[in-house]
Amino acid sequence: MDALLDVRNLRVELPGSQGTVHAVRGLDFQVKRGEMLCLVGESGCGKSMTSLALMGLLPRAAVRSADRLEFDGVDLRGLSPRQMQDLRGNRMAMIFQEPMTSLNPAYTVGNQLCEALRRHRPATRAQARDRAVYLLERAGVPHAPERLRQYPHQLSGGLRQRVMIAMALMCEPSLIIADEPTTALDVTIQAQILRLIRELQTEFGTAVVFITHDLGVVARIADRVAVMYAGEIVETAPVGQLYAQPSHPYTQGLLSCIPVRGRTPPGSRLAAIPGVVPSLVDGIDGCAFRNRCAQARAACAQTPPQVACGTGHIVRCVAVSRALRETRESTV
Amino acid sequence: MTEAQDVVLELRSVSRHYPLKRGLFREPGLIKAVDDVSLRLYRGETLGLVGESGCGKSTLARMLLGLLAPTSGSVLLDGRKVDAQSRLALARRIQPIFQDPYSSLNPRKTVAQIVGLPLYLHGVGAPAERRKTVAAMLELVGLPPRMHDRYPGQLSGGQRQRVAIARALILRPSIVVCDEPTSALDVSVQAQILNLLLDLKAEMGLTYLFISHDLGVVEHLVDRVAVMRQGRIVELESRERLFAAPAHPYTRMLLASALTPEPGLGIPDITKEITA
Amino acid sequence: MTVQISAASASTSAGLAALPNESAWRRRWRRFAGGRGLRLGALLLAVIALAALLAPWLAPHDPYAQDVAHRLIPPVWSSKGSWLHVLGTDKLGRDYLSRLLYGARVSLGIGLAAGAIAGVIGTTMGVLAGYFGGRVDAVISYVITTRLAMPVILVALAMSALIGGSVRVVILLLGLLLWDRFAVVSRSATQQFRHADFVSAARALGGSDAYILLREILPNLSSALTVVMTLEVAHAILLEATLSFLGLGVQPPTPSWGLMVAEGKAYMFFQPWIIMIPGIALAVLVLAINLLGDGLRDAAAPEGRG
Repeated sequence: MDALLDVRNLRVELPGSQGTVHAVRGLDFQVKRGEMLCLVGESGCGKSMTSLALMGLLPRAAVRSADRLEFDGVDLRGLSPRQMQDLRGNRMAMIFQEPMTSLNPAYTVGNQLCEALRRHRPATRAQARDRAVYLLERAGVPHAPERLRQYPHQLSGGLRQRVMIAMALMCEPSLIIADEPTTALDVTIQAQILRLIRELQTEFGTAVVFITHDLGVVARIADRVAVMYAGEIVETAPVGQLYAQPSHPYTQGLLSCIPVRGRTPPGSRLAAIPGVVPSLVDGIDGCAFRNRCAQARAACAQTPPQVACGTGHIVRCVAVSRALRETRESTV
Repeated sequence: MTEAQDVVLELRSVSRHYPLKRGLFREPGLIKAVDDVSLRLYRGETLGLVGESGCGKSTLARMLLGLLAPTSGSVLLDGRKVDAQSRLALARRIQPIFQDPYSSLNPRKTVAQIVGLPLYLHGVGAPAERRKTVAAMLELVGLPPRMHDRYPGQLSGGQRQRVAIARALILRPSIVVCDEPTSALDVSVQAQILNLLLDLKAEMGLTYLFISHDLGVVEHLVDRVAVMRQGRIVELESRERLFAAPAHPYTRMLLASALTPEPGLGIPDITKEITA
Repeated sequence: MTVQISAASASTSAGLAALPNESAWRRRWRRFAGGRGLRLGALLLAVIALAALLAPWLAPHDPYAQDVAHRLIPPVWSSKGSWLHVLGTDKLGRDYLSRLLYGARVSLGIGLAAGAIAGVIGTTMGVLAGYFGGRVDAVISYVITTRLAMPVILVALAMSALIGGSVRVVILLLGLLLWDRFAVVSRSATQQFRHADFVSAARALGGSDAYILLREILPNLSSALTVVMTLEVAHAILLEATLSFLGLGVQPPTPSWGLMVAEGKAYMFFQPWIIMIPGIALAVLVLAINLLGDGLRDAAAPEGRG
């Protein structure tokens, strides 16, 4: 079990004015060393909550629980806030969506980069500066030494994101959690940043949990994909398999409602998923997707089983489990 | 696309410049948000306008709607200059749908009040009639009656966009300027809204100017595409030709950056496109 | 680098479908009734307002009726007091409770009237400056700056000394001096909304500037302006008390809490209730208004961003 990150039955509950919101309802997933796992889902599915839960950055009122929450052999559940602080930015780093607000506008770029290193390692200012310049150059920032003296508002969105990536790498973390890092960027810049993340990941051997809602991005950068819906992972698969053989009805619906050049006839109606996401207040019994699913049946009111339908391909669905059983029985 | 087709909207050498003060002693600079753009919109078509942030597409849209005056050039609606027409007359011909479903609806008004506003402003019908027209329009966009007295804060993004669409169409305009109408929505909701826009176009005989940065969506909806960069239109072509064989290097770069959901193709190296 | 997202925004995005069809008023009421400071402030203010309103029926005596034979009787809790005059009598034998109740009318009345006038003036100026910008904004901002450079109390004193004090003069004076915060707040709020898409949509629909200002932007300013109103009403009440105390505001024999404090100065050591009772009343009133204002500010969040 060479998993860098091992999560079993992760739950996050938030008290709300209408009742308790079950934002994350029993997540199971693993991340291997050096692997790129994409966590994909639409708004409200709990993917951001998951990243905050892993980093220990949930709002104070939130309640996190898990059967297993291990990172590099360390049980995250038992760590004090101080110990989590030592871990964050050091062995586990995070890249956020909005580079304008995640970089402190009052400090120079160099100051923030060096602080990221010196907070965790006994480096001198000169050593920190050298590493900062090195990483900025690797991140494709031109004139790196001069950039150290600039403030975030003097940089474009793409450059700021490169700075964020460099900052995340300062302490050579084994895991980076990237929460929609390219969503706010222009399409051409996005492509460059994604390419950069991929290259750096291969070079430094860092594992990445890449959170996004964009299935196009997922297809191009992921090694494995976990599809989230209403606080749960409904399907996990290697990227090729997910797109070739999507098994969960939600994944299928999601993939078929995106217009794809060459596949969707222009001007035709898109295959939209009917209905809306159910409320997560006070939890959901059974399958959260069943009121929108064409294949729903009575058994879906019970918690759907997890079935394997291929190597590393796991689906949480009653219909899929039935279909597999039937195929198995018919071949016997 | 023959010349005999109606030109419903035309831009002739339209520019929008902003002076940039550069200190006390230097000449003021110029920001050319829109730079000498000429464009024709034909009746019944969907014209796509693509470009990245800062390219001027939103400024262009505002000039089309009469919300912003060009610094030079003219905007013609049905052959007549836009600034010669009254605000109300313009409103009956061309309407917008904006990107942000949160800021495009007044948070202090109910859905029914928002959709009924155009009728009220234009003095169309008695209050009882207006209520019926509003109800019919809301049904057309897929909002059930129980939503009518809700406030925007109680609606989801997709529902708000439906309200915005209902408001835009209740006066039966012929041209709708859609400024990134689905960019802020989830993919599954986007599909619903795009379907709605297609249905309404067919049913009401509309002409769309569809602004977006999402090339997949644009290719699905439009007849022709205009590519905008730094205030200028760099390429204007039919959909088939643009996507099959883009001529301008910037268009090629844009198309290369569009990540289709096809695994195994990796991430394209844009820098190669720039030099190509 | 610690990033916290509020529990509220997280829970709303997940639980949106569960929100029942509540009108905006219900929700505002729920939040309004929520805070403790708010409830206390509202309660105190309600009591005072009621007392002021019902003074003609609640007052046991005529506040102007002098009875020099029974002057300076202490309140009922002192050994020499009686239930005939619950709060005692002042130097001219007038029943203090009645004067207190009628004084509430004067204080609150002047405060609200001056606040209303200041509100209308300030909001109009601020909204016009914020919406039109350019020259209009430059001129109005200049006027606001000029007003801010003036020490309000001195100007009020000087004007009052010139014209002579009375209830009408005080209201007018305060109304013409206290509009600055209204102007500043409404100007910045209008500047924010000016660029909102729903304003562009209203213009694209053919809405005139007047329509947009009155029916689209102004309703969105109401929560911010309510908070300013409570602050300025409190401000006006205190200013009126100051002016009356100095003899330049409400003139005797009209009962004003400020005037009552002034009249009690001479009797501070041996008949302390004459100065204490109106003083405490003033303090309670201002406290109530500030609690209310604070509570309203907390409750005045926008109608949920989904």
